[in-house]
Amino acid sequence: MIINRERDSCFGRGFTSANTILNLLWDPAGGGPPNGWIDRAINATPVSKSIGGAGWHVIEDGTAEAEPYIVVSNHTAANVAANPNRFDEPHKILKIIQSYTGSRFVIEAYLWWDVGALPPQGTGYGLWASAYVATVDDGPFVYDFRGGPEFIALSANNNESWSTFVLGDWFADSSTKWFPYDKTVASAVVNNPTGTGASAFVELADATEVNRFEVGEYYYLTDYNGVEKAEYVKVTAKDITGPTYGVTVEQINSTAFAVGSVLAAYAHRFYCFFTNKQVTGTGKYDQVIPYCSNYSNKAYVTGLNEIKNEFTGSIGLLNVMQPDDEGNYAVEEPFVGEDIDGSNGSDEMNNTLGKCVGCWMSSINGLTKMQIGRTIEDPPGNPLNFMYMENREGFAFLAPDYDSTT
Amino acid sequence: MIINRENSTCIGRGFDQPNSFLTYFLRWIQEDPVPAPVPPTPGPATGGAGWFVIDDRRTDDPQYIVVSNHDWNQAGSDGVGDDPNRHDEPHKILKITEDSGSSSVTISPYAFWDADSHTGYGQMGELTLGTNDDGNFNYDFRGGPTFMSIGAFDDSPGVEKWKFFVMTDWEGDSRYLEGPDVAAPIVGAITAGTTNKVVQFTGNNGPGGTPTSNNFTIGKYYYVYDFNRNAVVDYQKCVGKDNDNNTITLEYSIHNFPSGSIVTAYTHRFLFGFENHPSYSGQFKIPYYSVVDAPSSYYIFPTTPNNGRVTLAVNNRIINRNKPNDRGYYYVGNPYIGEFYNGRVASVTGMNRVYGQPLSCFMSLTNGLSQMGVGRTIDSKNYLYMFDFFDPRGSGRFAFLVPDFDSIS
Repeated sequence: MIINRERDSCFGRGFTSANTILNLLWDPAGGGPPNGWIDRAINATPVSKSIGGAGWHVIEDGTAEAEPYIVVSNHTAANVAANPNRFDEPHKILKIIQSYTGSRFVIEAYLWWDVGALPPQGTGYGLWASAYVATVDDGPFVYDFRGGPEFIALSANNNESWSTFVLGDWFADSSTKWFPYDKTVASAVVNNPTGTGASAFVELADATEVNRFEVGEYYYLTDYNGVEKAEYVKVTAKDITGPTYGVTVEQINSTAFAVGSVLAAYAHRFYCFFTNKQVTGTGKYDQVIPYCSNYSNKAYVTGLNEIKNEFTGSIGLLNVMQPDDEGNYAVEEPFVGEDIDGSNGSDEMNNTLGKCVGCWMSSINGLTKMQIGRTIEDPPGNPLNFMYMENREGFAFLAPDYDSTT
Repeated sequence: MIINRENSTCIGRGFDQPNSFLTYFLRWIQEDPVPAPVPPTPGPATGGAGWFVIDDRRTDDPQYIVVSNHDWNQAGSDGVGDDPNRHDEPHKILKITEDSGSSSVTISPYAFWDADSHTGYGQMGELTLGTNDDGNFNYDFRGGPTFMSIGAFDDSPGVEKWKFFVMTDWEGDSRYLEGPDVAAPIVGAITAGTTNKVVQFTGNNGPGGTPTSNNFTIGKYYYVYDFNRNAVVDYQKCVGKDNDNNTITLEYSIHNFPSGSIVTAYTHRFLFGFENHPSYSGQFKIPYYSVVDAPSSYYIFPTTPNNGRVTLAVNNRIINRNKPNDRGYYYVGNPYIGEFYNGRVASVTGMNRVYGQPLSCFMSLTNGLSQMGVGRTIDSKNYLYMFDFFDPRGSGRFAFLVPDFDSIS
């Protein structure tokens, strides 16, 4: 994992005032093309302020709007516009808003963004997480940005308390039967509008694509090209003889999925966790993945459904272990799973999916948030520093320190 | 993993009875394994574990045999008798005793067995299996080079369940524990004392043909053991290394160690599971553990509750909350081996070591399982529910899963 980091003091939060947290993220020069940390190219270590960045792109600049914002992505605006349902390397898209509500900026995670002409503003599709980072409106405070293609963390120290938003990748645990398919293998684009209802047909390009899927297994149908549709479908038959190739799925509850929709094991392998929820209530949990496998209860699923990542280890070894004789703590790689809530399962939402990339969990014992982390050998023999970024039910979430940029 | 299984009905338990539990076991443990597939319900004489009887004491009272994965005195072998401190592939040794007048069989694992004096060294645990003296009952043997389980069905009124002894291998997690190749015999003795101890090695068995001492790292802790008609284990910090002279320096030593003792990251990577454990508490054990500065504590066969225990260290939460997914699969975790003094409070520095994972043993919700009747499918193979397993917090009930005979290939 390659990340860059910037950590320093800023003053206030607004985009257009010099040396604010959002200005440093977007445009430290105070004018001209955005060239703040978010879109500066990744640089080799060591890094320092104004050198290196996340290597992302500002795809919509709404800093002149009444409620200023920018929309950023790991892909360029042209790439996002041309590939609404890109599944080989799906878009990471964040809308970062200088909120009307003071002392914070809001971050919304989307799966696609239809860039606007300003006016009108663009439109996001597939909102799957909404958080805010607490800041100071007009005073000095410390900020911390760190990230790259696979991981991004935006943090601020407000009144000696760190507030953090993190987005990272997870990878499927292909060694088990619970989530066996690599996304690049079990994925294909819908070639014609799908049927609906029982025994609906999903047309694919050819027999090769059809054979990426297995009868009896479940997949996600998704479309975020101007709509928000995700459905969890079971393949009941395959047609590999043509002339029309495709799979039959047990049921499509919503309207037909358009050409360009994607059938995949799970295309958007991201997770979020954060200190503060922006929107409370159903679906706005603080550890989320974009959609879940609710099959029979709802017509389609998005991040607005009740889903919570289940990171394991909460009552296991971590909370009873002191450091061993060599001073090492046990840590583990958090697991990503679906669970309708924190205490009960349902028959359609119990997929265990995989593990977070470059993110770890430890007992908090002895750690100071954003100051002290754990040394983890990843891979073995290569000790790296991972920083304590966030509490999760009494455990420390560890994310890469800047030492981990190589 | 290659295992053979035998599951049938026996009559009585004694070595002297023709169709008894122990008579069948004596035959099965020595039979060569047969390749898969074995018959759906393999009975007597279908194939066995391929182990060896290294001491036959059926003339003693109580009667017992000692079996091992290595032959004791086979010509040209490097078996138990020839290499008491073998560290490249350590001996698995079980003493199987027909208890006198107690309707039970006792199974005791050892690190070494002296067949001349009929004495075991480095006892690593003990299990008593309740059996019938003369009546019919079901038994189940399954095992091979890396796995062994011995089970009997206890049909006592109100019990009516399987009881098991399980022994299996575990593999270290290299993030926490150096590999089993980090081990070497010493030349010359170590005398107990609180001063630094220089330890001499021979040869160039270090990385890239470097001196053997180069296997070890300053600042890390290592076990020193001697089971050559002895049973001592120390856990000491390496504070110096001299590759020119092929030595390392240990911080000190609690015990005396003769030449030929082994310095190692951890050699005996075994795991024992016990259904009944009359001699000490705790259902899952590893042979020794890492207490520092505690000379009053013996290092093997711990008698203090929970010491050196194995815990389901990860994934118990998700196991506890998940129902089967849409494909009908339950979440199943590979349990983690960790030491800690107590399941609820880690209060002793030096006993908080994470080691690794047992091979081919899994953990699942007990939900929907019946012991020895219903298992889980993992990687297309069937794993049977053998034990109940209580997680360290006592908050849930989990099933300990081991290979069914389908997994023999």
